[in-house]
Amino acid sequence: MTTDDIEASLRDALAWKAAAVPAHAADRLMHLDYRPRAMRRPPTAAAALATAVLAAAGGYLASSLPASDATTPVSLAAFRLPAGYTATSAPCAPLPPGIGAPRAAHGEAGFAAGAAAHGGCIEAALAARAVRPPSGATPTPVGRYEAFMTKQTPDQTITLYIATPAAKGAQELVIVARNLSASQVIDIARRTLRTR
Amino acid sequence: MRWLRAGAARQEFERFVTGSTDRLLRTAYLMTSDLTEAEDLVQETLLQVARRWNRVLSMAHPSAYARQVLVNLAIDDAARRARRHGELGLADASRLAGLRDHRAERALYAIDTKAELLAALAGLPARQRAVIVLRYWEDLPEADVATVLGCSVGTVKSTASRGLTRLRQALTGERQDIRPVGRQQPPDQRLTGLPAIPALRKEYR
Repeated sequence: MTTDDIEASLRDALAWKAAAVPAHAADRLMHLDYRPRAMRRPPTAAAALATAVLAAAGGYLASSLPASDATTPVSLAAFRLPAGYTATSAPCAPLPPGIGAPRAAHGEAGFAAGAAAHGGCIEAALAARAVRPPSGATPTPVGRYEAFMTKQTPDQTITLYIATPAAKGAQELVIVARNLSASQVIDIARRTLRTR
Repeated sequence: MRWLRAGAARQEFERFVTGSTDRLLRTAYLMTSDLTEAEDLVQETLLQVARRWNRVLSMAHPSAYARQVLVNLAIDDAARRARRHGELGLADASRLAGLRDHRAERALYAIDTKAELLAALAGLPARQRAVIVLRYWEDLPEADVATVLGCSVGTVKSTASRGLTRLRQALTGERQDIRPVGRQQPPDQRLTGLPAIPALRKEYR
């Protein structure tokens, strides 16, 4: 049996088996309540009262507490280049649209980049808003943050999108790297975010 | 206004579920070969998508993301399913023996290779099965399969090649199993006594 024969038989067999799934099986799944995360419920009277009480108490406490970690803006102050890399202002790889343009010099707020002699490079940029990861991006947890990663095989480029909550909506830390492994990039991102 | 946006997001999610559940379920069924497992898999997938709906909504192809979640859940959960099927296998031994005879009979007359192919597919490692299902059921290009599985295109090619080789071996092996034992005539001569079925002749050559 040639490869073409077996491929054709496979397509046929898979379609045949897939067609055997009864229609009612999907119906049950469609009618479950999955509670999508984007939903916000209007406050009930009891919840509104509780919120008001907490707000009054919080006003007293807030002056003596540091700002919540959840709304502290990300900075690239803790961004560290991997061993053997030197700071540069040269771009590493194309960044997603709207991020890092125009690129600032290394060390300035919102931008950091580095390059190594063997052709590797890494670049981090901050966006003041959430960025849409491309379709097909892989969910990749970075510490307690939800991130998405894309890998481009031909030029060994990895792009990591990490959404972090901020006072006004969200910030997005985007790290682009070439010739670094996914685990190295995740580790750098984790260390950058840990010291917020 | 926020509640209006939230309501719209929920409607979008419901539309997404309505539009994608059927396809996801069929893919899950091909990955697991078990409808109950497939339903559980789709339910878990949709729960994960719902948890990230804020972000998924902004993606160009939410259904591609859901498929990616589903396939990776299926691969991650394959070991548990295999253990469970192993435990059930003992109880089903007699039923399987009957199935084997039935399958051999069909193979003898070369009426259909679907059942053999699907049985062999169910025996592949989870990752090979995922590549086969994504390539030949979802019709995804190798680059897209690589994206779904988070590996290189080369890995997809080699995994698909190994999977096809194992499927071919499984089919060939079954046909060898049904040959009469002892000194027999060569296959072509044995075929002369059977009804003239072109496909059968081709497979034995």
